[in-house]
Amino acid sequence: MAKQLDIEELIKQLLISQKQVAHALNKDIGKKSADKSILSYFDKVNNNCLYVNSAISKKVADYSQLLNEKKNFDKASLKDIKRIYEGLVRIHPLDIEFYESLAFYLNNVEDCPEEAKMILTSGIAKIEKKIKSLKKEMKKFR
Amino acid sequence: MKLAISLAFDQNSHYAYGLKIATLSSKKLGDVYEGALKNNYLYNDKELFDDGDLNWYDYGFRNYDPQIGRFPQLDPLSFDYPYYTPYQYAGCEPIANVDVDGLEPFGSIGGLASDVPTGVLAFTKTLDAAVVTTKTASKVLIAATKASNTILFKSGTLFSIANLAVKTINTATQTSQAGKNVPIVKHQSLSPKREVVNGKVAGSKKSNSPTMAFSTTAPDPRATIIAGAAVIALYTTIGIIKMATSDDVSGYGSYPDHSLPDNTIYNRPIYETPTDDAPPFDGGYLYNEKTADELLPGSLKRSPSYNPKYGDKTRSALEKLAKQGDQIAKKMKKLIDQIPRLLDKNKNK
Repeated sequence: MAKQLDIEELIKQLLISQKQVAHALNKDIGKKSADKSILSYFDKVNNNCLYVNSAISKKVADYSQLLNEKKNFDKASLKDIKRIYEGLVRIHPLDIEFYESLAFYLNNVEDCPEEAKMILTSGIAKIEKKIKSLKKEMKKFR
Repeated sequence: MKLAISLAFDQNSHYAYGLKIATLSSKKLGDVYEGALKNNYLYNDKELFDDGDLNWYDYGFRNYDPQIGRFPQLDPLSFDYPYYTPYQYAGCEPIANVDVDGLEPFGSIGGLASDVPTGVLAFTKTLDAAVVTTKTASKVLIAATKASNTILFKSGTLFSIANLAVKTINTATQTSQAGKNVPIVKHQSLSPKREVVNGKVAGSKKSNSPTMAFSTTAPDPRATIIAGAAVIALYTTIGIIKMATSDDVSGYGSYPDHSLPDNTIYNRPIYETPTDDAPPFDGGYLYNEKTADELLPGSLKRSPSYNPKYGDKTRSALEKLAKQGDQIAKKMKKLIDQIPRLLDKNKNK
């Protein structure tokens, strides 16, 4: 039988790991220890299969952009990060926040400014379209 | 005449599998009342716990992740539903079914109200509910049996063991009491046995004294041992019965009692010794913990200064677009706020 999740222990571990990351980012910016704590957080997420959770996967993708050493990008592969952001956009098609995250990632990390612009504008267009259809529906009630 | 004015401070919309539609929910842009009164009972009136940003719903027996539409833990009744994946939610039909406690789907639709007369509809609904409750009861019983099976006993045999233990205690106590008057033949005569009537040997004329003496010594030690063993057996049996009939039907951990704050995982402090890299633990509670995102300055998250090699040609353009996006999201929110008022107006129509 598969191993059961100990939720309490898992949350404990996750919070401690997040604290470590926050501590490292606030105090040791630009040092190796920040990378170390970020990578240990990734390990915890991967070992517990928590990357399926969009809130956590977004955090993974955000943190991965804060890695200092280039060799550490191999551990948090760029393809995975892009996949995470694209997945978030697919799950939340009407949330501009995720379009923004993907666009900034594409611009800052992958150096694809045109694609970034395209994605953000397409997100805005989708929401505008939804607003129009909503207005039409609401007119029927008025 | 008094007018009661109520103010909605929180409005949430969900996809069928329970994922919050952020753009259609009032929390997205931050309300005036946000933080003043937090409602954690959202989808299907289940409690959302966002510790560690998991955003899982507490369904009692298991936790539910609406983002993947699955339970991350195995179904305790998976052996009874071989046709379902053990991680499924509401029988993979979240519109027709609701999951009440993380065990099995519960039908939420009894039929279409326009097609079926109300009486028939009510009858079918109650019938469905009765069937489901009996099913649930039987499932719970089965689960209890399974839980007891894990400790090598079946619930049926538990009671027989208990009965046996009680019987043994009774006989043991009887023997120990009788042990005070156990007849011991002191002088066994070779003559054929004679009946003892009223303490006298029948047919004897010489003496009225009985040939059989009654000892008043200590009770038989064997009886004491049996009684002790029986008491131990009874206590272990009671313990096993308690385990079998407790809330821990699934055998995967007891159901958290939300009426007691100390028994919930949310209010329990973390007892963890900090490592060298970790910040010192301040003794706070889980829900008071600041997450890494809260500690991070907002602009730092996407700051290009961390990756100067990638450049930042279009950042300003993107920021303009992001502002535009935020304004559109606000528009959307305004529209959605109008929907309940419109529905109220058109109620009578």
